[in-house]
Amino acid sequence: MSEYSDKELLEMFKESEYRNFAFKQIIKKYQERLYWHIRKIVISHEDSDDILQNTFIKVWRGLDQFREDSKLYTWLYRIATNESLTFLKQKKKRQYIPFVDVEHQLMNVLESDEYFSGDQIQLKLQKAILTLPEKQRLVFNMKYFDEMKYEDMSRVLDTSVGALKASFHHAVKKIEKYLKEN
Amino acid sequence: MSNQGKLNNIGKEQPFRVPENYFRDLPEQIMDKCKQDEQKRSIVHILKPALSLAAMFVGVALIAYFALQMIDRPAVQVPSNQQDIAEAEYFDRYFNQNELLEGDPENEEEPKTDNKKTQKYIKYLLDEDIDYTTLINELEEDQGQQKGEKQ
Repeated sequence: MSEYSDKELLEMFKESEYRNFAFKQIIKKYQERLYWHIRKIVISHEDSDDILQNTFIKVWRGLDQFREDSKLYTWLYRIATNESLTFLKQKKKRQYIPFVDVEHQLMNVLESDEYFSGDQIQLKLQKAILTLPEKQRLVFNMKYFDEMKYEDMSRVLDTSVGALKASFHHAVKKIEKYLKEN
Repeated sequence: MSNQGKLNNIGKEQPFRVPENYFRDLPEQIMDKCKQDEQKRSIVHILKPALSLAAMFVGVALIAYFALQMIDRPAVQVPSNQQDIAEAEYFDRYFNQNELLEGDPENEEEPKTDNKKTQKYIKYLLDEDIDYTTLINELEEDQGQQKGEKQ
């Protein structure tokens, strides 16, 4: 974990002498959190790796324009989320399949994923999450696994705190139902 | 609630794994890509003004070419059947039916030579201010002589 605060890293990034060093520290600091966030959306490691790299390239291009009135990590999460959703949309377009079937495909990826190390109950939970609508899935993952505050989630997803709370509540109910029935 | 307890019992650990040393090597890989991206962008940045200028010249050349094409082309190219209609409309507009039946006013026959001669004489007499009675007498004498010659 980086020993520098976001503010220090952003200041260093502005100076050409420390630019590369600062950016490398930002990657080190956030790569795991962003990776797991992306991985839970697209499931496959290879796809997550591509998306994470694209996310950081976009961050590299846009960090000069980053307004420090928002937190760096919510901005990074936002880019990673958009990249992941764009990836799923492109996948759907490329294969001419409806979104529901993309999620069905993700379930197949999950079952055959060589980098899935969870037990049967964890696999069942991941399958239950994949049955949720896209937005509810994002909200559930960010709240349940990443333990993100609703206020931060609101900035990442451009949704009101009330709507996020309702969305999480519905997601939990659906997952519980799935676990009970399967 | 039993179901809620069940969800909590599953735990929040990541059920996924990553290849060995993935996170150790990733920052270096990303930095390499960022540097490549910056190089590409700087080349584009350098070439951008030249490319814009070239695009502008091509644009101007195309506009000039099409403008010249427009100037060289006849104003209106009417298909043959439409041309017939246009001619009919022209005649309807400039000639009434009687004129068309009488014939083309522009190609009417020239006045006869005799008429021309008469007009010439009249003009001559007017110019010379010859007395009308003298003129009649002269003409009668002239006609009498012509008759005598014929007999």
